Amino acid sequence: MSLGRPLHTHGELKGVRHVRLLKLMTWEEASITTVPEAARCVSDGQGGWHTLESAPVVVSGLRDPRIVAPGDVVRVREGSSLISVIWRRGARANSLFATERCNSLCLMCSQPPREVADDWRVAEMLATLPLIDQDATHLGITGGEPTLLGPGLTDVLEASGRLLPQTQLHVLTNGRGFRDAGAAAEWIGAGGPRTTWAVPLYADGAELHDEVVGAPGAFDETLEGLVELATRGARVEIRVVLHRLTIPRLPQLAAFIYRRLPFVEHVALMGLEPMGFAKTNRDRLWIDPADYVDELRAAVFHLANRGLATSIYNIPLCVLPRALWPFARQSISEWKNAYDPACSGCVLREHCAGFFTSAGPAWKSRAIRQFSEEELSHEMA
Amino acid sequence: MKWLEKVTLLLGAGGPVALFTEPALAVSPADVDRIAEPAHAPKDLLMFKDPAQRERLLLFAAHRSHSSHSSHSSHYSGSGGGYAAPVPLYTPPPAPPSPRPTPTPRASSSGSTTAGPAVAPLMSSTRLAGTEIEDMVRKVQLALIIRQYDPGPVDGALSAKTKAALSKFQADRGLTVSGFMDLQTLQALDVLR
Repeated sequence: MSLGRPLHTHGELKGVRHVRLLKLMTWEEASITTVPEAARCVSDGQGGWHTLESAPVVVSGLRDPRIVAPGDVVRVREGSSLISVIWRRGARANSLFATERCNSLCLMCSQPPREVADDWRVAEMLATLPLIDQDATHLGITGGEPTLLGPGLTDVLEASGRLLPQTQLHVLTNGRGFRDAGAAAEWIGAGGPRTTWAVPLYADGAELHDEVVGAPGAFDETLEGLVELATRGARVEIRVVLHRLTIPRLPQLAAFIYRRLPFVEHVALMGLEPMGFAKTNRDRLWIDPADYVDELRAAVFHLANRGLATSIYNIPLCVLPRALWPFARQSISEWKNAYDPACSGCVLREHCAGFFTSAGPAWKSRAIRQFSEEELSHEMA
Repeated sequence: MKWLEKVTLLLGAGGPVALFTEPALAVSPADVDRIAEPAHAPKDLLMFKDPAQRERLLLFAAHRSHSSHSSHSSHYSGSGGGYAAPVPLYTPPPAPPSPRPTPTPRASSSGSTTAGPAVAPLMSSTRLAGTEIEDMVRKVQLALIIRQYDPGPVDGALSAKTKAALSKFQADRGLTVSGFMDLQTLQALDVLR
C-alpha cells in the first residue's frame, strides 16, 4: 500500500469546456489569494468544489475525496471524469511534466518516451505556474527531455522566475542539448541561479554510457553539454542509476566525476525504480543492492572524502552498511512510496527511504529486515 | 634513479609497462580499485563554498579566457566567501516540504514575523504533552545514530550524552551550538520537514 495519496481520481464534472486548470481553495483563501480569478475553485464544505464564474465548473462525487485538498492544482477535461492533481500543496516533491518526447532511450526509463506532438504542455506549464503557492521551496521539471521544448523551456523558466522567485527549480535533463552554445545560453540565463540541472551519467566511458541510454554518441554530447553548463556558471547535479550495467564501473565513474567534472554540486546515486522499461528489462538490470554495497561504498567515499556532496536515493537503510547511512535520503515521492510488511516493527521506518509502490517481490533485496531500539542503542559505541 | 624507476614512481604501481601493454589502465581516472577509500568522510573537511573559487576551478578545467567569466559573478547572490565546514551541506532536491502551509495573507492581519513556516507557532504556542516530547527525542536520537553520532540509548530521554551528540552535530553543520532540539536542528536532522 502506498503511503501517500495517488495523483488521480474520478468524479462528476459539470461546466467544463476544453481543458481547465483549477486552484482548489477554501472560501477564506479565495478572499486573499492572488491566483487568477478564473482558476479559483472553492470548497463547498461537503467534498465538492466549484469555480466562481456565472456558469461555474462544478466538481462533485469524488471517488476518493482525499486525493485533493485546498491548495492543490488540478486539471479537468471536457467529456472526462478524470481529475488529475498536477501540483500538490505540502508534497515532498512536485514536478511539472515538460514533454513525453526524448532523444535517449534508457534501458531503465521509468517514463518511456513517446514521439507525440505535445507542445501544448508548454502552455499548460505556463498556466500552472501562477497557481502554485509562492512559498513553494522546490519545483521539478521533468519529462521526457525538457530541452526538446527549445524556446518553450526558456519561456517556462522565465515565467517561473517571475512568478515564483523564491522557488528552487530542479530540471532533469540528459544535457545533450546544451552542446548548442546558443540554446544553452538561453536556458541557463532563463533558469538563473535558482535552477539546478540534474544530468544523468552512467559510466566513465562512451561505450557503456551509450549502451545504457540507448543512443550512440550520447556520452560525448552529454559531456560537451556539461562543460557548457559549467562554463556558464550553471548549477549541476549528476545522477547515476544503480543497476547491473552501471555497478561494475561505479567506483571509476566516481573518480571520473571528481576529476573531470569538479564543478558538480551534488552527486545522487540512485536505486532503480521498477517502472516502465526497467520492468521490461528486469533480468538485464536487476542486482540485489546487498550485492553492490562494496562498489557503492567505494564511490560514495571517493566523492565525499574529496568534499563533493553525495546522496544515496531509493535504497532502504537496512540494505546499506552503517557507514553509508548518513548519505541515504528519503527520496521517493509520497504518492509512490511504500514500505514492506517486514518494516512494520522497524524503528527506522520514519527515517528510511522505503520502497517504490511498484516494487514487487522480484525487486526485493534479501537484506530487508527490522531494527529495534535496543540493537541501535548498543551497537553505537 | 633510473628513468624507468622514475616513471614508475610517477605513474604508480603499474608503471610504464602497464602504459605500454594496457593503455586503458594508464588513462583510467584513478586507481580506485586498489586504494581503498577510508570509509569515513572527515567531518572537518574544508570545502570551498565561495563561487569565486569555483570559477577558478573552472578556469583550470575549461581554459576559457578570463573576460568571459566576469559576467558570471552576477549569477551568484553568494553570501560571503571563504571556507565552510563540513559534510552534507546539500539538501537533496526532493524538497524538505513545509507542512501544508496556510497561504501568506496579503493583507497582513497582524505584524507577522518573517520567521519560519507553520512550525514555528507549534513550537512556541502549543505545549507538547510528555509522550510527544519523548517521541520527538526518540526520533532525534535515531536521526543522530543514522548520521553516526552517539546519543546513547534510544530511550526518549534528553540525556547528557544526547545533548553532547546534538552539540556535535550542530557544530559540524555550522548551526548554533546549543545542545537543544531547536527548529533549525530538527530540520537539519530531517525530523521536522
